[in-house]
Amino acid sequence: MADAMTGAPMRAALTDATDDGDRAILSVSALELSFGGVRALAGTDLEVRRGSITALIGPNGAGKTTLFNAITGFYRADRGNAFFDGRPLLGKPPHAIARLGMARTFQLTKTLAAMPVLDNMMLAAPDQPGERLANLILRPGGWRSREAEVRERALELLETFSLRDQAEAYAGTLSGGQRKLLELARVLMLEPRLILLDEPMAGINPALAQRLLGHIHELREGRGVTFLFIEHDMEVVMGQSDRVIVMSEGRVIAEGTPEQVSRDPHVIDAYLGSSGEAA
Amino acid sequence: MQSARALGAQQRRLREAVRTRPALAGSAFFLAIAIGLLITNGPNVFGQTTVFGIVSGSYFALGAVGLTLVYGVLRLVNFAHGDFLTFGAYMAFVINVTLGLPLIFAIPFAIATTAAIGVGLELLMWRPMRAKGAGMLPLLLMSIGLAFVIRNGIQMVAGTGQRNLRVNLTSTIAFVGLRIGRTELIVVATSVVVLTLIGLMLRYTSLGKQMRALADNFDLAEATGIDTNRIVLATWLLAGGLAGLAGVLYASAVGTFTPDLGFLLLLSLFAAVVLGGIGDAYGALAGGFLLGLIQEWSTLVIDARWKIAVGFAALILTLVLRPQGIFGRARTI
Repeated sequence: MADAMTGAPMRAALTDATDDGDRAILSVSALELSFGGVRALAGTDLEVRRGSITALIGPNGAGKTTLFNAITGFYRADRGNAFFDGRPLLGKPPHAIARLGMARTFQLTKTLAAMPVLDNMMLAAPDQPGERLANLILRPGGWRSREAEVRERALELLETFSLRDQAEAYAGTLSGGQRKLLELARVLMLEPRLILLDEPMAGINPALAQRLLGHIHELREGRGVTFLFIEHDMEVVMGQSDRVIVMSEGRVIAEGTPEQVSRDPHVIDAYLGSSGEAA
Repeated sequence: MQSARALGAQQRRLREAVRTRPALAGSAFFLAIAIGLLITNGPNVFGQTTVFGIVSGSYFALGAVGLTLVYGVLRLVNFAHGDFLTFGAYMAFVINVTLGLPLIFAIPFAIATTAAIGVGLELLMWRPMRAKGAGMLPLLLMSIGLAFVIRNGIQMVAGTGQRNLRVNLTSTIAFVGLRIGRTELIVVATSVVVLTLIGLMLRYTSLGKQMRALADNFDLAEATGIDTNRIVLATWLLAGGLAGLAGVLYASAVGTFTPDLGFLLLLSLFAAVVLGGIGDAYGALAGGFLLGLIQEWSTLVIDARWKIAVGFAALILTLVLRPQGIFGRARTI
């Protein structure tokens, strides 16, 4: 089972390298977005390879989070294109993009604090027939069995993330670390093929960071999930990712393996030279 | 000395109780007042005012639930909500008096048209404004403006004079020595049934859970794959419908109404909302009934014309003790 699944990214890597449509799960071109005269995105071009763990780095204000917001429908880009698995993203609302299989987290961990952990999970499940009142009345049986299925999957995921015991607790009562885990577990309810993480390692203890990284690698190897994550910790970036994209002033200035990027003079100039001395 | 210390300890315990078990402490306090009033006024007078309190509580609650849902989901303080109630009352008037049909037809019509106003305004005003990223203040001002437009529109068409629905205000039903008007009984029964259904809907259906998810964290709900525009429309549909119903029920219970109906009720609705914890539908429901009872009970102690002030005094007292409202949870970050 696991072998068959790990085959997916391998196969992708073996196909013709010029076939970008297949190799790139996410491709962004000439994306522009200004806020009152500030060009947050100044013609951003990038591709994220299918099955990769790609780090997005850059100095503060480089436009990393803005890029996330623009391609997930939270901001409206002024110009440019963005495709996920060949489907256009721009102009779609956030929920539609999440349903396409591209899920995101936020820089500050968000939970539905006033709802139980289990509801936090179940709300993210795709296509719930119970949403439609007509189905609720006309096909109560069908709704129940679907709900039972969703509940079971939610509980399984909570088990994986050691949150099973907190299933009935309000999400607001969880510790910071538990909320981080819930965030990733919830995102997985969407059955995503690409997960965008905005600074997943910020403000968490090293043990939890190791656990999160373990889950990320497991999901990539086991299910072929692609990750694009914004990160400031150079050790994490260099040690965990297989591709690195560097942004500065709203543009991508370098892209490649961690080794290539760390040797790139542009990067050293714009980023590592100023703030990455220690790394 | 000894007793002073005991008193101090008691005070501390009391404060502790208010902090840790607010609903319990609140109920105990409330019950103590009720028993005090019962003893000083006798069961008959007390029972009768309690009935009046429940009657006004039932339309407060209906109005407040819609107001709090809109605030919870959209963070929009809708000053036009009171005028939704007025609109509902006048729509019922059209069917009940102008066309001369029974109230049973007027109520669904009032609910449907007011819900349609809620949905229409969302599509015409609120959604485009949200898409433009409008802040809280412009939206607030727009809702105040909208309140005037609706009220003046009604005045233009229907005039400023007093109107009344064709309801039976004289026949009463005796119940263990208490009199309750037949119409008032219908008002209370209708609102209790409707509010129970709304409560169940919010608690158990997927639509209800999605509404609460939006109220909890709009961005996260969107990123979770919830079609926020659809849920927002459902919220307006519900808030409008409830406001329409509340308007008809108010007009029926009180007997007469003017285009100022909703404007005069709006502050009481806000009080009910805040009393229960802003954005919390169950809180608004309880807050509505609580406010109704407090206002009516106060007439046993002081002149009836001060009852609205008493309601707000209770609101201020509650907020001093519990800024998040009786049922609101103190949020952890």
